Formats: sequence, C-alpha cells, structure tokens
Amino acid sequence: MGPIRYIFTELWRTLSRHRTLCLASVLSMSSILLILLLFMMVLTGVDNYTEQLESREEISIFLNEGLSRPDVDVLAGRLRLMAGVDSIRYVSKDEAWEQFRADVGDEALLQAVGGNPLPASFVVRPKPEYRTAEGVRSIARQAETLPHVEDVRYAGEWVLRAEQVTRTLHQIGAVLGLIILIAVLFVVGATTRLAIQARLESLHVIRTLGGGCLFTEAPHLAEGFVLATISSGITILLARAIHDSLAVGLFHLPMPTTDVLLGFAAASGLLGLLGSWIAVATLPRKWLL
Amino acid sequence: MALIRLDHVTKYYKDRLALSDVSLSFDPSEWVYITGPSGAGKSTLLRLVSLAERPSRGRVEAEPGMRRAIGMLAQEFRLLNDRNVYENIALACRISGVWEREEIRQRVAPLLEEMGLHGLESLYPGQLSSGEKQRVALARALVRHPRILIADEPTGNLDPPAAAQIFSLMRQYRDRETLVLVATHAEDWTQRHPGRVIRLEQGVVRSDQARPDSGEGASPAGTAPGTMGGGI
Repeated sequence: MGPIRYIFTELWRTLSRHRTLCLASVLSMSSILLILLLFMMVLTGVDNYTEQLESREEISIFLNEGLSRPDVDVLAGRLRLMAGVDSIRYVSKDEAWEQFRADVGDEALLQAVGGNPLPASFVVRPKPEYRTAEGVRSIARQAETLPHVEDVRYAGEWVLRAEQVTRTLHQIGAVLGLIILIAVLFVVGATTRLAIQARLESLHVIRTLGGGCLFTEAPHLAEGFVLATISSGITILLARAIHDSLAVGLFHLPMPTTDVLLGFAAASGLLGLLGSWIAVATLPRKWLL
Repeated sequence: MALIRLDHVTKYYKDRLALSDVSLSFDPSEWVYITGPSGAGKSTLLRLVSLAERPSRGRVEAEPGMRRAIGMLAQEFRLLNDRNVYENIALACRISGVWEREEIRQRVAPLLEEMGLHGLESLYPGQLSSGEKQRVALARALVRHPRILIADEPTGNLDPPAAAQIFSLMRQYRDRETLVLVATHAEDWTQRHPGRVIRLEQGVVRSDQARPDSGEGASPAGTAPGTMGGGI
C-alpha cells in the first residue's frame, strides 16, 4: 500500500464513518453550486441573445411616399457616403409588400389590409467596425437627418439595453460567485473540522507514533476535494435535468459545453481542497497537543 | 557511546518548573527505571528523551533521525479503535516509511507470535483484554525495530500476570541492543527486574544507581553527561 492508496483508504474510512455529516455536506454544497451553475447558464443565454441582437445590425430607412427615382438615387448616393456604411439595398414598395405577404401567409388578412400601405426603404449594412450598438446608432442618427426619410428602425436600442442587462448580470454573477466561494469554503471547512474533532484521539495517537502530515492532514484534505467534486457532479446532473425539462417549454437554458463542465467540477474540487486546507491550517493549537 | 544525552536540561511549562538542570546519558542495551512520585517530572523526562519536546534550557543530544527509532508504550494503550490488531501494528511500519505489504507482513507476523497475539490479528481493540491491548501496543512500538523503547507506566492498567508478561517481553528487547526506559510508580518492579534506577523528585534527579545483581555500577546523581549510567 503506497501513500496515495493509504490516503484514499483513510478517506473511505472517514466517509463511511461520518455518512450523515458527509451527505449533509454534499447536499449543501450541491445546492449552493446549483445556484451558481444555473446563474451561469442564464448568463450564457443572455450573452447568446445579445450576440444575436448584435448580429441584427442592419438599419431600415423608410422613405416618404411618392419619391421619384432621381430622389431615390440622390438619397442612395448620400447614404453610401455616410461614415460606417458598408452597403445599401433598395426595397421598393412592391418588394416590401411581397415580403410581407410571404411572412403573413394569410390571404384573408391580406385582403383585409386592402392596398399596399408599406413604404419603400433602404436597408443599410454597416461596416464590420460599426456593427455594434453604438455604431449602428450613429449611422441611424445620421440617416434621420437626411431629406425624404420618414423613419429609421434598427435593433441597436435593444442591443444597447441587452448589453446593459448583460453587464449587470455579469456583475451580479461576480458577487454571487464570491458569496458561493465563501459558502463552499465554509461548508467544507466545517465538515473537515467536525471530522477532525471526531478523530482527535486517533490523530493524537498517530502523532505520538511520529506520523506527519501524510497520516494526519492529507486524508482530510482529500476529503474536502472529494466531497466538493462529488457535489459538483450532482450539481451538473441536476442542471442537466432542469435544462432538459425547460427544453420543451417556453424558456431555454443553454447547457454549458463539456469543457466548461469539467472546468466547473475541477474548480469545485480545488475549492473543496482549499476549504479543508484552511480548516486544517487554522485548527486550534490545543487540539493538536 | 551514548545513544542519547541530556546536558543540563531544564524544562518549564509556562511558569511551572518540570525539570531542573538534569544531566543524564543513556547507552544501548540499558534497562532504566525512572521513578518518583506524581509530578516528579518522569513523563517530562520521557518526552524530552523521545524528542517529542525541546528543553527550555540545556541540550538533548541524539543521532540524526533518532526520532523514528523510538518506540513508545503508554499506560492507556493508545490503540486506534477503528483498526484491527494487525492494522494497528502495521500503521507504525507505514509511519516509519515501510509501505511494501510483504515487508510489513514479515515484520508484523513474528511479533504477533512473540507477543502471543497469533489468531487475534483481525480483532479490534474493543474485543481485547487489557493485557492483550498492551501487548498490541508493545508490538506496535517494537515493529519499527526501535533503538529506544520508552514505556510510561506500562503496567498501570494491568493485573499482575499481564504486567509480568509485559515486563518479560520488554526485557527480551533490552537484550537486542535496545535501550529501554520505564517510568513507573511501582518500585517493586525494580527489585524483580534489576536495572539502572533514576529517582526524580520535584524535577530534580535525587539518585541514579544500578542494581548490583545486574552487574552495573552505581552513579551518583548530577554526574557529568557520559559518565553516568554506563553499560548495564
């Protein structure tokens, strides 16, 4: 039996001796970690949504009714000269109506609308460096000042709001992460301390025999690591179950990739190791005498 | 050559004086009793000799790595209740750096035989008598082939036959070049198993002499280190 096997034998001895304590600890940590993982999933969802919004960077510039072809050409020329404009596409009244008909598909509804009420428009595509909320907004503001422009519509406002929401959520996530870090350290630390307290007599004997860190502290450090890793495993399973149950409903939470989940489990394990190390390092000296 | 020497050693616990200016020297194969009333400093002396504590003043001289070559036997057995007899003894091997299963078995099996523990190896301490527990504790102390065996009131919890058995087993190890230090209240053992007797009172060595029938010469207390307690 080598040192590593000895540590795991001792670990198994501790886990089986303090089943209830370990179970309570695992359940507590799983609950705490689940909050974090779900929040990460929500954040990923919001990030994805924001990215989708950002990809809708095209700007629709609706024109006044009855513009002549030369007026349209002049306007097209001015639009092409505007800062940040990559390309423009003219959508006539007829094309807009055809697109609307294709989108709606309900003939009765289209007949109720009567004639074609849609205006002609330009669809402007910004240059790559302008494909941000601010960039799109700057182009839209320039377009609003042009003659013959009835209205300007773009997703930039939503992108801006979504970005603000995402930033706030990231900040909340950082605070939540910190709170959860402290909570996990506390749970692991308390578990380790209770386990050590329960085997103080044995530890004294082992110390008397000359047993060092490997025989006294290492099994408890391994305990923190293993309990936190098991907790993260349970957390991932629960998160997967929640993800699957929401997949058939209105809301959708994106499941993190395998790499992210492995990182989550490893980070949880290291957090457990840190918690038990702090517990061991700050043991009252009188316990060890 | 002395195995371990205490040179003008004084030990305080906070403000309480436990040992005062003690100079002693111990050789291999010696059988040494530390006697004296409660609070005389017997356990303190043993802790210093076992290198588990450092003196407040003075020096304890021992070869490097000696701490691993010390076996301890206590009155209250101090066995691990969640391990069986074999594992209690094997643990001491592992602590001394022996991890090979076969090597551990080769060390533990003869001791089980010698200590009369054969057939009890899978029992837990709670299933043993006091005498058996102390024999397990002795086997655990000896499995590391100690150069010094320190026994603090080893028979305090034993009936006379069991106590006699423990003394007889320890005696065998004195004959194997092991220094045996026994702290005891029971001075009748010093008559039955002769050896060097160091008497402590209030932290001071009052006498240090060997029994004539063991062929040892008497040494007055307070003699310079290296000159006291020469070979038994």
